Amino acid sequence: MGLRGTIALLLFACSGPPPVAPAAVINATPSSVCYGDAFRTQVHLDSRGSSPELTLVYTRPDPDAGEITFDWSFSGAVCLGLDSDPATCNVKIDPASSDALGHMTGSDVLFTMAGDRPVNATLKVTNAAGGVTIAKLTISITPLDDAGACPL
Amino acid sequence: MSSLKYFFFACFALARPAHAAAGSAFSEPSQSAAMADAVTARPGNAGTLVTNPAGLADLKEAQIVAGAHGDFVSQWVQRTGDPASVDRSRGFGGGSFAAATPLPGPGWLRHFGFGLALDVPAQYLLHIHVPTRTDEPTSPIYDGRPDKISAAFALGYRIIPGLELGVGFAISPTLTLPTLVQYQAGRSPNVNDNVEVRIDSSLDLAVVPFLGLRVQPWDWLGLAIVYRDAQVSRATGTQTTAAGGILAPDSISFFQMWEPSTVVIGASFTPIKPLTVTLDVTWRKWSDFHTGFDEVLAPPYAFNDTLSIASGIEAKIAKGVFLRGGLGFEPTPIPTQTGPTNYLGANTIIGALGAGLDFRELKGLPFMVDAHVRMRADATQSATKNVGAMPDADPTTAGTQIDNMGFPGFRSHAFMFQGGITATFFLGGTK
Repeated sequence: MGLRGTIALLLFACSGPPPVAPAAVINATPSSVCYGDAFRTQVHLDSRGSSPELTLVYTRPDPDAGEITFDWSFSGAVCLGLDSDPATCNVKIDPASSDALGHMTGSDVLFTMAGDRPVNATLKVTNAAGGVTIAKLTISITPLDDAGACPL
Repeated sequence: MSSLKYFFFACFALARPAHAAAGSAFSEPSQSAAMADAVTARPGNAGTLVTNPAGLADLKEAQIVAGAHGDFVSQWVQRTGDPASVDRSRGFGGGSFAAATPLPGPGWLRHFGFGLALDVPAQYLLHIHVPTRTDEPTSPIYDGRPDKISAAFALGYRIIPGLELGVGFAISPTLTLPTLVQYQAGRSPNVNDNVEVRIDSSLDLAVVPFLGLRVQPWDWLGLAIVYRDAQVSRATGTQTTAAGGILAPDSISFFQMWEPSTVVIGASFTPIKPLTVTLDVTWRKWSDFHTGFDEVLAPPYAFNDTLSIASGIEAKIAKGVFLRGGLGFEPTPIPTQTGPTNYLGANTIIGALGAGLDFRELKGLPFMVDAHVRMRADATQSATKNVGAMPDADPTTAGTQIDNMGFPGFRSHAFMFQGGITATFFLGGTK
């Protein structure tokens, strides 16, 4: 590490405490789809309950805390309606939930699943102070019953 | 919070000059590592007191061993049908220190050799990953075993010429309860790093015995048998989570197997003086393995005991110059992962090369330097889940909800590369 790197490190060390982390919450409706759903059931993920400051006990939101930003991602082969989509999809994102570059930065996301595997959804929340919190939620799949019907 | 990582830093006032073979995984001295650890039946030294404490009776003079190693594990896991794999690669390293001496005094006392060793990981004195889910993909071989400090003490005794017995104790930090978990909002931009774990008292030390027997009926043949007890960290009890003025007691059960109980039978052949060939057969009792939540794994998901084989060769190619090599095979203890767990690992081939310079012969200086490279190549693991074996993630909803992180199946692969160097200093003394 040269002199410049050392000075940068010292400046970083003296720059004060890191920012407060935000709260990241994922709610899923429904939380499970049946095996072999084949993209029929739309799953709605919302970030209700996320806030600029993480508190284990509810406190009134600070009006000066600023906005929080969202960044969603999913496990598996995710199709966004782009040319770069994989040939086979496990997850199809509703076009209204992503931008032209495939970024999912809204507070809500709508998607459908092939229903061959659980899907892990990840929500990264960033507050105005630069604090980051990541939440994860798994949308499970439900095998069909003995009669071949979906029990959900 | 995707996962909660507890990092325990024990502030021991210990220097970190090096490391030696006190029992931490992958911390063997270069002489042993270069021969795929098949050195149980060879005459011992300070660096092999855990390998076979009986070898300490071979010491002719006091010696100090210092070493260091750097390691990189390339590992990936990919769920069936996923377009990309998850990279779990990581680097680590450590240092070792060992010292041993024959006891001074009258003749009968000089039949004893005493040694101690210390392994110190480069990053953490103890690093434990507490999984939040039992189905979280984890590697029992590579994830935690190198990440702990370990110390060992051993005593070897030469009963008669050619018959040696040794006993020792390995000491590893373990967990104690009650433990206080606090959330320090604002300590870090990342919420995971705001969790602070405080152990109320000092870190407990787990003491496990090991013992060995070495027989040298002829100069060309050495035989040995060694037993090492399991090294396990376990925590059971209540922890308190503090958030502001709220104190929430929570039960906790945690299990980490650092090393299973082990029995090694070894042989060492010296057909001609400059050449030694060794063979070690190792039985490991992996069936005692529990989940991270200290739950017994029921058949067919219980781990299997394993029988490994390793062979080494050492050749003195010139005055004070040694070349070494080793090959080994370790069958995996992990059963086919058709059930709720997602343990990563497969049958492994080990290959090693090394060289040593004995400056006593080269320059008349009282030290040796040895170096090695070692690789572990795992076969590709493949698993397809049994739907009927998947637990219900939400019993309140109709049907069985499957949220297993490995469903419908997965593949994984690992490759480890290690390089290390060891210096041995001879201090003279009792002859």
